[in-house]
Amino acid sequence: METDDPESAPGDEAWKAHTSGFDRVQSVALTVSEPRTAAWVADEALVAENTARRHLQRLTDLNVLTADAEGGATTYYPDPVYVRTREVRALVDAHDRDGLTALAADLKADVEAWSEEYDATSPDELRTQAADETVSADETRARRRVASDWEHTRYRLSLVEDALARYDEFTDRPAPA
Amino acid sequence: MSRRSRASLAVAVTDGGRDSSRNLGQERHRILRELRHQLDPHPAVEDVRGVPNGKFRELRANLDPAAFGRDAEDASLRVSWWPAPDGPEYAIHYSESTGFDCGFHREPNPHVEGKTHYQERDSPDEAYEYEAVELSPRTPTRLLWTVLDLLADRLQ
Repeated sequence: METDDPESAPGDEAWKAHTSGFDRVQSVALTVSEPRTAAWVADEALVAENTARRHLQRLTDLNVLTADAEGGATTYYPDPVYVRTREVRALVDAHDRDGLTALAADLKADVEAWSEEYDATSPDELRTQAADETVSADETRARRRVASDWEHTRYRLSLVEDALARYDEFTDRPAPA
Repeated sequence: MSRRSRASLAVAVTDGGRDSSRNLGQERHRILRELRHQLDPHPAVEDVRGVPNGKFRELRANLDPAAFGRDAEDASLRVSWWPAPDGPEYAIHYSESTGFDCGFHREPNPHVEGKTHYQERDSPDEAYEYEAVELSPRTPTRLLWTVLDLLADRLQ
């Protein structure tokens, strides 16, 4: 049923029908670009503020989020340790040691190719190039894409290196007695 | 490449993104991971994976065209998300085996005023038609469900 709520968006009803309030609070809280309050998360996750606060507290207890109560209303933000661990787990599940070693080489080669192609030493430098008004619209978009791919790849390489450094520990499972 | 630029490249490869106040590479990972989780329960989605294999730069989902009332044999969805210091850009794009494709994008473009728009074409040989749109969700996962709802409307 569509509501007359001016804040409602198409798809809200389907989202609510196919996910739990906890799922929505978690997904909103893990995709923010800056620390947000329970009221803000509640609006986006389509739950009551008290419900959002309860789920956010639980996620903070589980070290999925970090909470900051300084300066008034408590704000929540993804815990970088949780985010890293989750991605390392996905990498170790999907690739064996040789696969991870090959992936690391592949990611490094991508960065070197971008660096060479755009004569830049960092994604920030590429974004500065993209902002140059003499660059065409297509080139601006291409440079912004590569800057983002570069940031993404740099982080991913650090994940692969973590996975390789502790590969035995992360894949160890004692045999049943 | 000169020795100097090689040395600075080594820093660029391994510093994990410390030259930005926000770690945009980490942000793109966690957003794609959540979008992937959120595609799973959607009734039109058959399966979803990160591509290219191992690099996880965007998502590809196989869709059931019948869920959108479409006659096509196959349909797929591409989800790309590019966080940036001045606001994110994204593309959520539907393609089917008939050659038709369409999507909601937010990116700089010369076709409409503003970044957010809908684009479609009947076949890869044709030029896209563009239309400026406004989308109210402020978070990626809610936006995904909004776009899937709007795509269903367009595909009817």
